[in-house]
Amino acid sequence: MSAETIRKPAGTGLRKYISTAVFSVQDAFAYRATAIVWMLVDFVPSVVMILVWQAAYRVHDEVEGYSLPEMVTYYILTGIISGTLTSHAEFTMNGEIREGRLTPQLARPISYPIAVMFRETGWLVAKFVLGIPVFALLIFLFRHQFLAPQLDPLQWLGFGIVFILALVLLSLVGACLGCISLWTVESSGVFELFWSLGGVLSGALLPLELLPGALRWIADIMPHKWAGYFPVRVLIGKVPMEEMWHGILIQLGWIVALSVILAIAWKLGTRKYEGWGG
Amino acid sequence: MLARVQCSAAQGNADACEFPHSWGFSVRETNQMPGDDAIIQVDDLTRVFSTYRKGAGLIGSVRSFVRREKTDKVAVDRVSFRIEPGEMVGFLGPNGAGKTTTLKLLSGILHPTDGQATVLGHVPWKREPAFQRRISIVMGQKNQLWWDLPAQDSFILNRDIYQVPEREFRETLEELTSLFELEDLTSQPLRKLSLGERMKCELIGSLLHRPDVIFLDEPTIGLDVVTQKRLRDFIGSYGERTGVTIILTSHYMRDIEELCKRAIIIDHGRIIFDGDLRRLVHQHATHKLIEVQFQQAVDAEQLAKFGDVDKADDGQATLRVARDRVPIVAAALLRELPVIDIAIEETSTEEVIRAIFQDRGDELGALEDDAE
Repeated sequence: MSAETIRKPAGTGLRKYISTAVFSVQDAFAYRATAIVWMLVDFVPSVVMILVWQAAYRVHDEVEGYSLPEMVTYYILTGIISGTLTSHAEFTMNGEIREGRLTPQLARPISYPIAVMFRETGWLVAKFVLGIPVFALLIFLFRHQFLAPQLDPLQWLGFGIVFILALVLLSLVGACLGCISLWTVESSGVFELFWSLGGVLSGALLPLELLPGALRWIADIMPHKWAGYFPVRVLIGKVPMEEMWHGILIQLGWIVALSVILAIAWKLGTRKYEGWGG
Repeated sequence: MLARVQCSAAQGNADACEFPHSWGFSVRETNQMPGDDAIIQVDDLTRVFSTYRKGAGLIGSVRSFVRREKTDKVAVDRVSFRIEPGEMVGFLGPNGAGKTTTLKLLSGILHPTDGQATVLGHVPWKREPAFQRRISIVMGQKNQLWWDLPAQDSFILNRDIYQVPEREFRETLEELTSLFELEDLTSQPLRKLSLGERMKCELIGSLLHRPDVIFLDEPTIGLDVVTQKRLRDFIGSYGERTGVTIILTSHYMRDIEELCKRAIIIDHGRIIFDGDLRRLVHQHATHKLIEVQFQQAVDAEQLAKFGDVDKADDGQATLRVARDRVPIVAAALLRELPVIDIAIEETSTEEVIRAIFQDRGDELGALEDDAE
């Protein structure tokens, strides 16, 4: 009888990741002011854009099929969804790799990139809960133009699926970017560039219908659109059911592709990892 | 076949295998039999780190921007050794000698450039969960517990990560926290604890899953003398009572002396000694120290004919004398000088190690004596 059979592990392998997320929620609540500040920061572009569009709509009744209330609603929901979904696993990984805090974690029976994704999800849950007063304030400020989502149960179910897949997709993007730090040590410049482009390609700055043709094409083939613009459009009821299922398939495709990229990048990167900092 | 009770090889006697014992830790059961393969086998293990050189100043920066010069540093150089179950082995060497890199390779944190190793029958760098659940690594300079949460929360997370059954977890935690007298402190955020208390928590966190092999990298670094001693006592007793295999690196000679019968000395990535620490001291300590107290001050020149004078003031002196001449010199001192007290001491381990490295032309600033 081997020692391993004597000491059979208790519970399932998933529990460790769920616990990681739960403790991350607790950790985030220890810094609740920071979470609220980040939620406010995530809303700044949306509020600025609402103010710009309010000026533009003085001379137009409609822009690319959007009325002013639809445009305001688009930006408020974009702020809520991007604030709720956007974590930054890449910055967490970059810091831990650069400072050598990754080192002891590699000897533990838990996948580090997946654990980071769950940690970031825990942080998002806390940020969402703490951000509710911020959402309420924004909706109150623009209450005369905000259109509450009018979805049937099937559309709500579809939105739920799209939302969760968008969360997974963005987490994977962050983890893949974070792996760059295994080679370059300091990679925050690359991350900033990626997310700056992401602001345009995800529809956070402008609804994608307003982008010029080439940029729209780029937005279609990049993952940002499927984690930002697409869930928002589903929520405001502008995506027909057939198109929604098509979008879900594209989200799933991205998730599979990013999972493969992450597995390869992690395997190659940790082979090269030098465990800096003693 | 039912597993045998594994005993401390360092103890080498049946007493170490007795159970139940006062702390209630389960004595480990493994499938290792007497004469079985070593628990750790290392063959020609090598790790090379690549770095880029940058010239000094602005011009150097510009040059390195255009063309970077790559250099390789061999951190671990064809290292081979075996470690038996239950051994406590100390790794000694100056900064950059390759001690920590060896530990990182054996715990699977790093991949080797060349060579082979197995720990508990696993290739460490494959990072199989079945292997990782049976080892633990504690790094004195790195927190593994959550900084802003109480240690007890991190312990619960460790329970889930290592998939420890609830009952076993509760029992082990209770035993360890009472042993370290930390019961009240584990409910406070880690950041509010002293360095010594944090290190105790780190040790507890690393033992909750009852690992078979523990890698301790500088566990006492930065701690005060009293806490160092308590940690040493704990590690020693825990090792003896549970039969766990412990690999330890430390800058403090006292840690290695007290805990490890066997030492592996590494320099420039290569093993220069592997064996009984006391034997090493005996072989290399060609001199003994004679400490003498006189009725009145004695001139240093008067003492020089007896041996090398290390120190002479206020009626006290320390002489360094070749081992075979000690009886003759001691008798001569008693006969010729007004001696009121005399003591003969071995050269300290730290001094012997220092001499070995100095003979090799190395700087040994990193290898320190105890912090006392």
